Amino acid sequence: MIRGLQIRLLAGVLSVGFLVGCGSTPPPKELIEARAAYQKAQAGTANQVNPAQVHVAKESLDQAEKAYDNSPGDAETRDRAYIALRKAQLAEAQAGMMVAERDREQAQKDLQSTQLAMGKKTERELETARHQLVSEHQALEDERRRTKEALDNLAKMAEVKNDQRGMVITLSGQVLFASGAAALLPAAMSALDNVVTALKANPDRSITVEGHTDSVGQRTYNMDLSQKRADSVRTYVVSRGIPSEIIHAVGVGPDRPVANNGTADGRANNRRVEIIVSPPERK
Amino acid sequence: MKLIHLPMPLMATAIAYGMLVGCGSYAPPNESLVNSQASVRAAQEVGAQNNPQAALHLKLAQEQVDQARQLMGDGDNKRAEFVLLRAQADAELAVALAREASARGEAQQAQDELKSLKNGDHR
Repeated sequence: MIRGLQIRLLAGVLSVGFLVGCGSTPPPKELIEARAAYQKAQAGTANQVNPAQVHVAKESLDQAEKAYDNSPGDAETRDRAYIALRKAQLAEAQAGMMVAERDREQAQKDLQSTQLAMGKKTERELETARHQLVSEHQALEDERRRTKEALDNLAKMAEVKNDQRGMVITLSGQVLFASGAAALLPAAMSALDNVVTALKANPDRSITVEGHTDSVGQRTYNMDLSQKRADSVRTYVVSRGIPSEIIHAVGVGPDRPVANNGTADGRANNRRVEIIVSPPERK
Repeated sequence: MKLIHLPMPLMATAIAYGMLVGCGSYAPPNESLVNSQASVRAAQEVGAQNNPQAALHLKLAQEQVDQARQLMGDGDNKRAEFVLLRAQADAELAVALAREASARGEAQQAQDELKSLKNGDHR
């Protein structure tokens, strides 16, 4: 019994010595680094995205701490701490990879949806452009059709021919004016509307309106009347949208008959207004 | 401490056995050697030598494998075992670092692509 007590005493002294020994051996730098690395992994992203590996690092660190408690100075303690350090770094690196992969997936998803959106946008733009082309083409067709109709209608009440001056539209005086007057008759207006439509199709031309009379009566009177009549036509045509600067009016009087003034028919033909549409360079 | 309570002959046997295990007859850590060599190869295969950080740990792993083989040759199998565990930890870290680097590269590339696409859109 006494021997047992002595042994216990010895054991107590030994364990105190052990304790003192532990306290006096500072942790190896591997252990200090491992603790810090684990703290970092545990507190940061690694623990959020990679908790399993952080747990492995924790177990590895626990083993190192235990080895340090039991035999602080051993090479094995340093080895275990070294391994614990690497496990914590591994958790961090794996977490970094996971985050990068997530970023890549997100970017690729955004890329796809952006491409899709851009594709749709391009498709829409193409569709709009196509519609625009179609409607422009339609407008052009309509314009051409209106011009043709106008010329056809014009041909019913006027003579349209081409000579070296350009296109010459000859309107009978009877259609346009009452005898001796320069004011347009209502019927004249619809005839002139067809002229206007045809003229609008050729906006860069220059236009001359010529008033002509037969040879009956005083020449000065006829000159004056033909000028007034040409002016009336010009004024009306300008009021319907033909630019005033491309059109001028001339009174020719009886000077350029197209028929024999000796007959009633001939005189009727000579009483006329000619609208001459010239190419721009002949202005 | 408990050893002290054992009968003397038993304690002697235990100590002798412990010494035997501790020094002379510690088995060569062949499995650990194979494992750490495989991890080194894995690190090389993922291109650890192309990333400075990964390359450092790959080099440490290789050096430790060499060191462990020398220790095994000298009969210090126990040290060799722990050095191989260190080597393995370094090689595994090298793999993870290399993968992280290439994942970051790929993410950056995708983000750049997205950016240039969006910039092109604004033009």
